[in-house]
Amino acid sequence: MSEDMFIKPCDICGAQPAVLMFRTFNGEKIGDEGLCPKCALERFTKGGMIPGLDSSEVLTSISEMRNILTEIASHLQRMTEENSNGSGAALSVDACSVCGQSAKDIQRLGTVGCSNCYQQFTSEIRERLVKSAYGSRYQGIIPNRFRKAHFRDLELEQLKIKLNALVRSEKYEMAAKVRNRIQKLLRSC
Amino acid sequence: MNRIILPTERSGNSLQRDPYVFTSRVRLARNVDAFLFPHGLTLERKQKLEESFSLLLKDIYKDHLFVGDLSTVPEEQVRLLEANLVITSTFSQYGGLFFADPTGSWVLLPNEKDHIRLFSIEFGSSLVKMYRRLNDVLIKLEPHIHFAFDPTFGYLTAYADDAGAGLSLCYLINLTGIEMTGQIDSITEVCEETGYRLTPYTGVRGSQLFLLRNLSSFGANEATIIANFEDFSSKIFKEEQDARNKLFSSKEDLDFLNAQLLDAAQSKSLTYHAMIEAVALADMLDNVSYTISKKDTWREHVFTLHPHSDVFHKILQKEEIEQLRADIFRKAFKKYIRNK
Repeated sequence: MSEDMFIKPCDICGAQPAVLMFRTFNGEKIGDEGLCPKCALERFTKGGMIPGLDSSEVLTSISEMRNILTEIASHLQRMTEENSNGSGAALSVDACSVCGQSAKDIQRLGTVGCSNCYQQFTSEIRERLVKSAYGSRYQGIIPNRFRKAHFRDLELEQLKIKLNALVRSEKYEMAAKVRNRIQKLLRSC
Repeated sequence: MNRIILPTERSGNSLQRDPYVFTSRVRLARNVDAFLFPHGLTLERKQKLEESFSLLLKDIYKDHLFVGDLSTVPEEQVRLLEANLVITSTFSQYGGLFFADPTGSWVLLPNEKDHIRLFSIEFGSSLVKMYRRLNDVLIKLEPHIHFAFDPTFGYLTAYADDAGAGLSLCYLINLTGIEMTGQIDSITEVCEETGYRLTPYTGVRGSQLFLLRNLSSFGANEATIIANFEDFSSKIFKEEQDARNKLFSSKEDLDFLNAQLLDAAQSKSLTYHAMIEAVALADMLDNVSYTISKKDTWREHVFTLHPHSDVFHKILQKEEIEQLRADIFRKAFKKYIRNK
């Protein structure tokens, strides 16, 4: 039995293998959908809200889910591209794809070879770093080239808290305005 | 001119910490995005990195820049820089270029072991002023260099635990009281538990001078890191003052301390460790049994009478060094110290 038999093609493009599976409920109908990273990314970044749902709380949840899924889809898309252009051949869970520093050395000695190590071994480094740190997130000076994105992220964080509070207090009109601002910021990412 | 003098003079007064802090060091660690971290660089890439910094710094600071080459600095000066934690032995083996303000108020080592090291060392404890001074250098550099940065981790370094603000603070402090009342182990333990490290300056137990530094610069902004460090060190100084008061309140103990100091001042030969002990002891007894006229100059003996310092240049015999050290120390004692 070939391994390919287990691979479902993408329900949108049909060409690429599906890597994200969804179960959708529409009234009494239950449907299963599988998307490749590229189509999933398009769906979550460009797709509109599901018709028929107008509760702000549900919309907020969907919006948050969409963000999470968009991130997953982007990550998968990046991995797929890396594998297809050959750079993925050197990619290993044990060694940095740029400098070759091993995950074991990072865990054991704490030595990192290059900037890419921080991206490839995020969880290992984070685990080590947070043990002796003041807090769990970086709070220091932000270089100019990262400032715009940083302040956008901060605003998004604040707006999401505000939106939740508005929905809880049933101030839907204001919540819609905040939601629109969130969507505008997300589109600018 | 082929060297810089460290520590430089103090840039401000901090009377509260003055009885305890000999010198302060502030270090900012950075790496450059386009390069691997220093320990993974080939000699060619190291030189390329130095060359990039050289061009950029000369362009920014024009004639107001000291460019040094560690391979041309006298060996004893290199060892002294190592002893003062200014450079690592890895860096001195490589012997690369370094850049400094001509007054020594900041120094930049592009190929330090784990990162590009920008630091400042001076007498006293003006951490905020020193940090601002270093940050001003970075502000001038950042438009031209993409330092390795990640929004999650902050500034990236070759040692993961150093990632974050890349800010390391260090005090050289006099804990003679704590050491003599036998509390040093428990204080050292408290430091480790609180995210700081306390190590004997001479590297061996029984030292009266200690280096206090922060272990992490992740999870707080620069101002908070400095404020926390100052706050934590103030608690240690409170313990030190309590221990000193305990010693001073006993005539027997005080007589013993005075006798010990006089003995060192009359000695014909002094090891570095014994001299450190005497410098620290006199410093503690300032305004109690003695008055020291030029405190920073007195404290400077820690650096100028180090076994690898210029004074002992070309003297190879340990005994000769110890005799010369005792001689200089005796003269300094007569010059700067008066009975109260």
